[in-house]
Amino acid sequence: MPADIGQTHNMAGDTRGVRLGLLGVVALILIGILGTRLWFLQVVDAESITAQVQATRTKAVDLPPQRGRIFDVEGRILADNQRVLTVIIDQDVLRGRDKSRQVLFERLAGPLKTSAEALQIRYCGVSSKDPNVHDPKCNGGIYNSYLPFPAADDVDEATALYLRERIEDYPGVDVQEGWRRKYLYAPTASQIVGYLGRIPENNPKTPVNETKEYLKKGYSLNDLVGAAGIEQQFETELRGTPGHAEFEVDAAGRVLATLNRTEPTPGNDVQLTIDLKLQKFAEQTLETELHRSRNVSPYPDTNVLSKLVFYKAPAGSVVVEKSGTGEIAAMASYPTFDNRWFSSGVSGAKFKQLFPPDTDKNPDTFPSPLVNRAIQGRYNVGSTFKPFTAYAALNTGFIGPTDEWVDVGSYTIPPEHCDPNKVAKCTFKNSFNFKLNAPSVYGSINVSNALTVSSDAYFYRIGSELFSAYPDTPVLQNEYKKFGFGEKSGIDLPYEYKGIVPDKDIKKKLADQGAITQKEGQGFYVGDAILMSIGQGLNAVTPLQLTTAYATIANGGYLLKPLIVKAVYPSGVPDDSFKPGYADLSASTPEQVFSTVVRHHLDDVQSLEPIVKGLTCVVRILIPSCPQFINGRTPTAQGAFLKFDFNHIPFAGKTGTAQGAQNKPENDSSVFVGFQIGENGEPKLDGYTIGAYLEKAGYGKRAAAPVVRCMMLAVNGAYEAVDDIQLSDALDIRATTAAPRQIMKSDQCLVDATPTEVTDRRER
Amino acid sequence: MTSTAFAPAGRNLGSVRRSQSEPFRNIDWILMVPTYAIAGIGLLAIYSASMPKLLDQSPPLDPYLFTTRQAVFLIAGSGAMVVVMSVDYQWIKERAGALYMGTILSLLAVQLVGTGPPGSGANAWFKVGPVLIQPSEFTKVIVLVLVAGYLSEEREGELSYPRFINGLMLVGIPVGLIMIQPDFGTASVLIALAMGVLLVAGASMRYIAFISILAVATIGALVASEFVRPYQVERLTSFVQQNTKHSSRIDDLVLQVKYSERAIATGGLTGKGYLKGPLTNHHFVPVQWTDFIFSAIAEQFGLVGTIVLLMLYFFVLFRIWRVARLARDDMGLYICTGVMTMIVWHVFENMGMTMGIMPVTGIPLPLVSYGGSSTVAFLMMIGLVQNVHMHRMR
Repeated sequence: MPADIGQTHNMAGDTRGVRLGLLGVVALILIGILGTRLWFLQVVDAESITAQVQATRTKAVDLPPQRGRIFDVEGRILADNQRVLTVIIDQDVLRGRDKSRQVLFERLAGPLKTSAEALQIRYCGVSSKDPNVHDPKCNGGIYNSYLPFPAADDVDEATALYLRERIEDYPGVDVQEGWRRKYLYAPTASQIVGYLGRIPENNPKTPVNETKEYLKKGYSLNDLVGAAGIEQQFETELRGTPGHAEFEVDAAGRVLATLNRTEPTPGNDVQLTIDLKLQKFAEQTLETELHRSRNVSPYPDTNVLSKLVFYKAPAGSVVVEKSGTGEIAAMASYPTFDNRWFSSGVSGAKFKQLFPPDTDKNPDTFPSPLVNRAIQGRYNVGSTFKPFTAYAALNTGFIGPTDEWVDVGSYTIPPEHCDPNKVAKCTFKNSFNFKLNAPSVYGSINVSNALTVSSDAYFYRIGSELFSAYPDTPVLQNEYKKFGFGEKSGIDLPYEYKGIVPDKDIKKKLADQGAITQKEGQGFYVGDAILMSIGQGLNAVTPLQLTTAYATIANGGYLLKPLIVKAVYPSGVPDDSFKPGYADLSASTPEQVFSTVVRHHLDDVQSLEPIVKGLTCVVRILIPSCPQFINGRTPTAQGAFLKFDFNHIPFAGKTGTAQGAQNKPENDSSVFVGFQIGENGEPKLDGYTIGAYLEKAGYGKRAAAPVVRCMMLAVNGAYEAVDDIQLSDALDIRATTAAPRQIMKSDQCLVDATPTEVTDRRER
Repeated sequence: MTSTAFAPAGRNLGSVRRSQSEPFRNIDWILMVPTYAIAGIGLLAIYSASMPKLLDQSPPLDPYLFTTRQAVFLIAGSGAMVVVMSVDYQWIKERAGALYMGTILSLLAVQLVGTGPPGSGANAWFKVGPVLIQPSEFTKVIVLVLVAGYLSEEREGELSYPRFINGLMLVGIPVGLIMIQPDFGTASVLIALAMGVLLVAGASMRYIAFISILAVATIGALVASEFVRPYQVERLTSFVQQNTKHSSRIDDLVLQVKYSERAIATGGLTGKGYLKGPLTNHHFVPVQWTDFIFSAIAEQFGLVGTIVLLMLYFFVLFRIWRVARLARDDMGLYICTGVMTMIVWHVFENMGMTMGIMPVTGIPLPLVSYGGSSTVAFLMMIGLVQNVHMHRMR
């Protein structure tokens, strides 16, 4: 058998040996090919490929700082940050290169989980859908054309890694680390907290080039900056200092080494004076009362209009201020918005739906949610202005605290002062009373009584006669200004309106601006003084100014700067480990504490006494010092506070009704300010002053007084149905309004205060 | 031809002759040296290529994880090699039919219950506890034995036409099954095996030409029917397709080859030093420790290292070629031929793809790439060659 095998083997030996040899040659050739290729790669091309790989350049990158956080007074984190990765594309590879841009977008669409068309729209705007048509306007759309185009704002780590590894296949594409703002409790306090936006484009009409100002401070054009509220006002504190890094990168942009790196310094944290729980309750209460008012007719049931006309109640605001310190505990403005919309990336069309432009044209139908009415509202405040007229009369010695004057239902300017060329009419009537079907008549009253029943005639007289006594000195105006009217309160929020206390110069200015006719603007006349004395006419006051002025009465004569920020903390305030959504402020020391600022101290504190007395009786009737009736008329806010526990929460207040267009009752705006006082009417420094202004919601007692009542209970912990604060749900991007409807847990505090029948519209 | 499992025991021959033909006294130790030298280089390379990525996980994994496993695979493979050496290959031949049926069944089964790496789409592995077994790797060994056995039964000097066709069929069935997975790399190995063995077995040049045309036509048809993915063709001609439609798989391959080439080139003459290769040690090339391990070796050890490795393979091939010449019968010759062909093809295709001159297929660098099934299979092949060498005397 071995022989057999051997024979077989040998028999074929020749051919098989040759063929085996042939196979060996093939193997040698293949190994030779490998060796040759290796030689070429590792010896011949090694240098050039190495040079290509090692070709380095320096790349500088700004490292965005983590923005400071915003807390409420309790440490709730209103504005927080989330680390995000942004995919950016160098403009050089995009601009004017339609074809290659399209190719790049197509290749990016997969990893970015979007479509090439969506990227194209993001880059060019909606008009340039078709990439094959060259659109000269296609230059990055809303994005600055000299800075990298942010193709995707928030990509995950995996996508970032994917793109970074393939840096050569995605020319010009880079992934940048940054931060995204998160508003944990939105929409509550959105108006105050504000939002971030792109650096505004230079408006040639403004004297200051805003864009340049930002660039001077070291911003880059794609940076987000505070565009409203605290975010804007405290931009400098919140922003922090950007870091800077220089990398050595290879030809493809891959980082080889870090040359130097300055870490960014996070911004400082800002603690507000706002108590979010009160803030939310204020927003709920305001909105609820406005909605309730829309079902109410300004006319008595006997009137045919009562079934047809309702209050529009489109807007309003509430301010809750600590009388002794000026700290704002809550400041609500309706309508409002959810500040997360500004970082939600919704389309322009959607944004227009949420924030309709040109709201000025029809403020009743589309009141702008972006206006913080508490500091920007330009309002007549009606009778709530009267205490300051009273102070002017008392302080100047024009009247004494107990002087009586007979109110016959009207006031007539003495003929020697009534120049028909300057005044349209010489007799001014008290406001109309439905029950009497005539102007109200109050008989013999002193200044306190006049405030209690809100006699117009009484204050017409003061305005008229003070004006006539000192025709060349703006006595009234000077007294009003002691309460902060006509000047900015200085609250740390942007776009505060300074208000108007009209005088000769201002009238001329208004005439030049076209707000009033040139004829009207010629001078300041007795008629102007009369209207001013009851808060009508050209007077313009913000709810914050009004509340702060009342706080001056409440605290015994100190005009304070309203404070919205309590302290600034150095960055690094830790989160509260037990309460999610809270920062542990006790673990950190503030860098700066905002203490109370006295803007002015009244020279004549004595004169406040009869005023407080009168205002106490506005809301209280069943105490000896307050009359139940004055010439048969009840105090103005009676009814709103019948069930109120004054023994525990003594306070005083004043109603106001700002007359609207054509003097129709449905155009009346409802104003009320209440302030806590001591048991005997003495100033209460740890109390609150609360002002409410509800546009076109009726007379003062009707809508604003109930809101103040609710807030007065809430700030004193006397109302149980105050919602707890919880972290917000995600923004509902299907929403069609800028903010969701706020609903009170229970509106009982409003119901208890609402007058059951329309009786009169007396107070102004 | 008779064969016995432990031949010497059954024969009553003189003690001198017996001791000379004692199989275990006839191991080709010179073949063992380069074989294990290559495996040692593999361990070093696997550690250098996998360590950074393992440490980069959170929490970091054991940097020796893959290296340790590969060492275990080598020990297991060595055990399998000893088992293969301990029986006469003629004894295996008689059981090759059953083994062949088993492998065909396992290839079918892997279609049904097999798994693959995430995203690969290939069903090429059985998951047995913590171990992934790739039946197509063992198919190489079994097809080799069967084809070698079948062709060795030919009595004529030149291979007859029916035997040639049957031989082709024996290879064709597993090739088809492996193509379905799809695993063109392993399929190409079997085709190379068939061509090498048929060539040496005396197939006429017409047959060889026929099989070559058939292979080319098949590839052409597959491309035309888009069964082969475009990149597999593109790799042949151009390895940088910047503007192809986005597909992450193509992207991965383009990148892999690009970085691999760069790694090899920047290794230069002497390399950057062990564990000092920025490209291969810092995870720019994915699956660095399996199919693309050659680029890690090239970057770290340079041309010196790659030529040493190439020479070691050459040495192994030379020793196998030598055993083939010494084989006592045709089957031994064909076994050696097949093993040689497969190793040549593996080395050429794997190194070629890392250098951008061959399309990217997932076939490993013998005994260097990380992988249990292939390591065991290659050591079994070496065992077969040793078997031939051990039994050359009879």
